[in-house]
Amino acid sequence: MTNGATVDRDLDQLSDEAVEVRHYRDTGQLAVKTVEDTYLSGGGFDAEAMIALIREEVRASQGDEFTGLRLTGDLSWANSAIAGIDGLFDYERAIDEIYQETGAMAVCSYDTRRVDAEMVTGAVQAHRSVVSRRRQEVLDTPLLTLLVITRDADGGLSLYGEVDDSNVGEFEAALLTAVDSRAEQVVDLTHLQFIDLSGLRALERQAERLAAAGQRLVLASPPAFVTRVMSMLDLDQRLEVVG
Amino acid sequence: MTGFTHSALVYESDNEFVDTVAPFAGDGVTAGDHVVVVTTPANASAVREELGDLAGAVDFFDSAEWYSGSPWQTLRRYLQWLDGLPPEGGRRVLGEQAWIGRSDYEATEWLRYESFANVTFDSPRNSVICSWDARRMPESLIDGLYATHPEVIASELPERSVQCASPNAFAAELDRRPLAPPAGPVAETTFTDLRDVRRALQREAQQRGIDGDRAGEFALALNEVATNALKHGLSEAKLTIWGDGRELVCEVADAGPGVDDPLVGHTPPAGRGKAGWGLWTARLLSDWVELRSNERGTVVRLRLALN
Repeated sequence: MTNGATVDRDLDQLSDEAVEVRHYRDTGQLAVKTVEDTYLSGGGFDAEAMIALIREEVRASQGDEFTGLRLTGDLSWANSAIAGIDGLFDYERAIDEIYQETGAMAVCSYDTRRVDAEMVTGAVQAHRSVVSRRRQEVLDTPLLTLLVITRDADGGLSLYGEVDDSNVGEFEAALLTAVDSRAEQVVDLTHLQFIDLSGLRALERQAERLAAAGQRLVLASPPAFVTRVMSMLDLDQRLEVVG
Repeated sequence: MTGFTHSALVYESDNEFVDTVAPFAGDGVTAGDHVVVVTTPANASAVREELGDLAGAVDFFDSAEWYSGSPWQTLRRYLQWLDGLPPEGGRRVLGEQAWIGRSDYEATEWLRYESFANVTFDSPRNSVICSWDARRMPESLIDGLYATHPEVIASELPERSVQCASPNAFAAELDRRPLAPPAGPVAETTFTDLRDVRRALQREAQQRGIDGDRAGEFALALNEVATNALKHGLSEAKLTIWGDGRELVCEVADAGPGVDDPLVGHTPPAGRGKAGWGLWTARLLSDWVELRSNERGTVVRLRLALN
């Protein structure tokens, strides 16, 4: 669900990264919809209608043809002038439950140059995992969020908080979103308070995806308990660690 | 290769040990098998002497270290040894546990390990002998020995009152032994959120001055068990914590349908997505795990020893 004005550019950009986007669009595996046709289809924001739309997408993904649903929506339109905007974070929390129940993965993007500070705070609080450059601002928000991923000035990622069974789907989706095309993607674990086995498996899968694309995932400064469990489960043979 | 064997050697003297183990190891080396002998330093040097030049091809480990910690840590050592071998040749294992000084719950899990060895080591390439020093072996273990080893080698067999049982039947029998009641006052909470479980443990660990890294590992063990309880239970479960100067104990109880495979989590699962990783991880990361399960629910008790 993206900005109508940039749909074509966004698709071109995806195609650049070796994915035959238009082919998958033809087969129905990829659906691209505009903000105007989804979030704002009634002129303003209608939480009930959007929840119904998401339910329908989840249902459609549960047939025999597909293995699941990955969804991304651009919410940079969100501002206090939009009718029905008060229902936005109720909607975010409602679909969070749907995703938890069905195992769907979703990433909501908020352009911090365009949405106001109140929106950013609400967005941080309504999600189980957050990816942002605005490290301090996000970390200072009274968090309901379990996990924050920040992108540092040098392009590396830092994890803050906790990963467990309740947010591992979001964690994996956030990792997918946060990595870019650099050859070596460093993920700093210094500030990670907790990660469970499923979270380490998500890192392992991310390392494999990057390896398939000729890139490397490097974990920096894991806490001692992470190092120990990685060695106990031989994950240290499949995940590269420094520091 | 003669097919999988798992025998117990009950010996009354040092000579009797060497007379069985040296040919077992020496014939293995001659046949191109890989041989590991895990025993006391005294037994090892007697076997080395008897083997002469062949001893260089045998891996020796001190049983006091090899069997330190829990059965799952020991199993991991054996699996690592097996994994490190070239594909060709049979594998011969001689292992000797020191049964002395173990508590009842420890003896129970070690016996379970011996019984499950019939499954975990089952391969036509493997021959396993467990040696038992009759001079030091507690008499109470004789039934356990017979119940867990298909074959017993001894110059004079101890009196036999039980037959070797299938691992699942034997596990069911061990599960009838109740968990010991908590030794002191307990803190009990019902949880639906894994964070609450980790916070509760963190508070206890801090109060008891437990090192942060150890508490972190134990938190992961407890978290995996609590995750299982929420997933397979009824979306809420009970956490009970108690302890004394020697250990911290955490117990997770759910009212789910129970664990159907008694072997689950006693070995590394066969694939990444397979069931049992949480329990296997918990068994490796805590000092001890006990589990009781039936159709009305599952209780898992984890111990962290305080040094």
